[in-house]
Amino acid sequence: MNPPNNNNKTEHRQEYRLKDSATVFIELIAESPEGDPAEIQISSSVDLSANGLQITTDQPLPVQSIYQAAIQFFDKRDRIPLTVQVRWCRFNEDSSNYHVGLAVLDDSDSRLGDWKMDISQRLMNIEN
Amino acid sequence: MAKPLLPLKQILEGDYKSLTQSFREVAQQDSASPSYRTEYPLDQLIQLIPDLDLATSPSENGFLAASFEANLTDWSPYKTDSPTALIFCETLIGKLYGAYRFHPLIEPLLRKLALLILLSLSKRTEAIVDSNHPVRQFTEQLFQAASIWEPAGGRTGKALLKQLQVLVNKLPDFDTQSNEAWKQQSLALEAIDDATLARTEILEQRLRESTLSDPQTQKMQQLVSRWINRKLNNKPLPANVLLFIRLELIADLQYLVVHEGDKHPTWAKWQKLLHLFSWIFKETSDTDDRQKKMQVILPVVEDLDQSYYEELADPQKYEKFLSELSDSLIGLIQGTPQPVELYTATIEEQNSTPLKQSAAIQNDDFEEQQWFVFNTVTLQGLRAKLLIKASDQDTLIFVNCHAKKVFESNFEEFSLQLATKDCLPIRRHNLFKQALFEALKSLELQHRENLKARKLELDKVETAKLQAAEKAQLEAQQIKQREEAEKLAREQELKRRSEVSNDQLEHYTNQIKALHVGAWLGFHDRDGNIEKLKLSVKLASTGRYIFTDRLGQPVSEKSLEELLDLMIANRLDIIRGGENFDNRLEKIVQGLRKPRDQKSL
Repeated sequence: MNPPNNNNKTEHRQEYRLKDSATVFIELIAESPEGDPAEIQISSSVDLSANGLQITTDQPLPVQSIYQAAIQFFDKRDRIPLTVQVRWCRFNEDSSNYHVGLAVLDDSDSRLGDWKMDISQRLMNIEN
Repeated sequence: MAKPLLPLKQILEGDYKSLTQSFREVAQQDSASPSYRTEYPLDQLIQLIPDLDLATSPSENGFLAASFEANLTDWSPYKTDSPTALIFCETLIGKLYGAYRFHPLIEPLLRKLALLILLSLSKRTEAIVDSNHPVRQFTEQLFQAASIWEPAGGRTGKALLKQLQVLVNKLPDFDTQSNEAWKQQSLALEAIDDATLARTEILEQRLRESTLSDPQTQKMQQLVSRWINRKLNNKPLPANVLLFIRLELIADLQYLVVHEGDKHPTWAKWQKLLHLFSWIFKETSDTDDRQKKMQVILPVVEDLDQSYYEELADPQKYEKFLSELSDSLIGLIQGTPQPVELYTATIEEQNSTPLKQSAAIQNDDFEEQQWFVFNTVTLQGLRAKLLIKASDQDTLIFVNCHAKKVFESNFEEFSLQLATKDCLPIRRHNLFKQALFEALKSLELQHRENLKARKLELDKVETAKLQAAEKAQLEAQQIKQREEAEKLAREQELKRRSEVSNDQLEHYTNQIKALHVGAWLGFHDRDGNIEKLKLSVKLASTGRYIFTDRLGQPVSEKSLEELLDLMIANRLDIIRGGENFDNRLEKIVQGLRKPRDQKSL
């Protein structure tokens, strides 16, 4: 568990964050009404919190974009569908990939409640 | 010239209230002028003066900054209650200083004292207009005394320089707020002035007497010049010896004989030596003559001591001459060739020389006791007073501040020097008032420019305000038009909705509510164009629907009501209802697994 990182100017989430690695599916391009297939990217999380997550990707994601996503923890079979919005994106020279900050939106079609509960439980189970 | 905006006349008449009022007025309108701010209070700055290395003389602009910036690493613009007064004093002292020319030996000290006066005046601005104020009196005394100062030997010759050095060194302890401290400095300058005056009066009187001589004096002068002319006429002499006799010796011996009589031993000694000059430098091949020269020269060289000049002015001059003479005489013994010139007798001046027309014209341009600074090659920077203006002899005698005769001229030559500005009169008095007048004119000009700039600024603000008002009005009109159009559209929608049955309305509502994230909708604009957007978020907190393009970029946000209205107006198509992303994802994952599973079978 990491303390809030106030020094990072691009990081706005103030909650404690789980430094947990989960698989994150993101629908970068939706299936078109004419039937053109969707493009889904699979990436992994760097850290997670009740209101957002940080992921790594091999391409930059435009800030403000809204995506359908599904998060799958390694210890669970089912995925949690979420709607996320890109808040920041920066290139990491050390790893030569992009770090992207995603905010979880209050979408009635997503399973936001399940997500928060899951995060809460994981936080409580962490040994200090 | 336009009527001044500031009360300049009253200030020049000594009205202090008018001065402070002017500073206030200028400061109020002054938004752009440089302001001096520093962490150092004025007293502390004054304490720093002795150690400052002032590279430039006081000027009207930037002297303060240049003085401190170059010396203080942490100097930042100056902090004072009255930056206008400080800037004004900088101009005033710059103008005052610029009106004088000082000897290079004394100038570095005067720069520091000018800085002291500048800072002190800015704190005690009443001294600017009060001619009896101790700060003002000291300032005027200092510059007047320094403007004519020349170095000279002896204690009195360096008295002023020494006094200024003492003052500069004591600046850290100098209480600029104390009138008594300033008065003491004035008294010290006065004492030096009095001592100099007492000494120079006697010397100047002697010089006058010897120049404007009576018939007896003229007779004694002629005795000397005629004797020398008779002895040396057409005799060969080394050039330096010849020149010295013509330029220095004759006048000095005349002075000696006039005052001490023709029996004086120094005159007798010189007569003997001049007699020797009349034959000793003549080239000869006669062996006897050479023998005789050798026998005479050595005792003469041994005898060339101070007895020749101890009664004459400027011993250093004679020391140098006798040393050169000694070398010339020894050269003769050694057979070194001596370049010589023939001495020609000076034409004795007539008792009265009529002034030439050109000189007479300018005769009234200069008077005795006036001070001048010379800029010729030989008299570079020389400050001298016209002590004697003898029209009948066409002679002008100049002395320095120690009453030493430094220059003699005639009317023609001096008039020419004045005309060509090789010589300029030194103005010593009332210069503070003149500098104050000019500084006030600068202040007035600055004030006018400030007012002009302020007016321009206000005009600019006014224009910007007007433009903003017009823009806001236009925007308000546009909003009103839009609102009216929306109102009209809404009324039409309501009318259309009223025409729709409740069943139909419920049907539409259910259709919208059944939409899932990922649904595609077609939005028709009024021109019949269709924009296809994906429902990306159904915000639980506000009930609003966010639509994006295929790449997730938000395009539109609508409420349920708005969507209903669009449906009633036949401007919204549901192209595809949408499906839960996880279900779609599951299908994709299943799709990926099947080929792998089949392969493993």
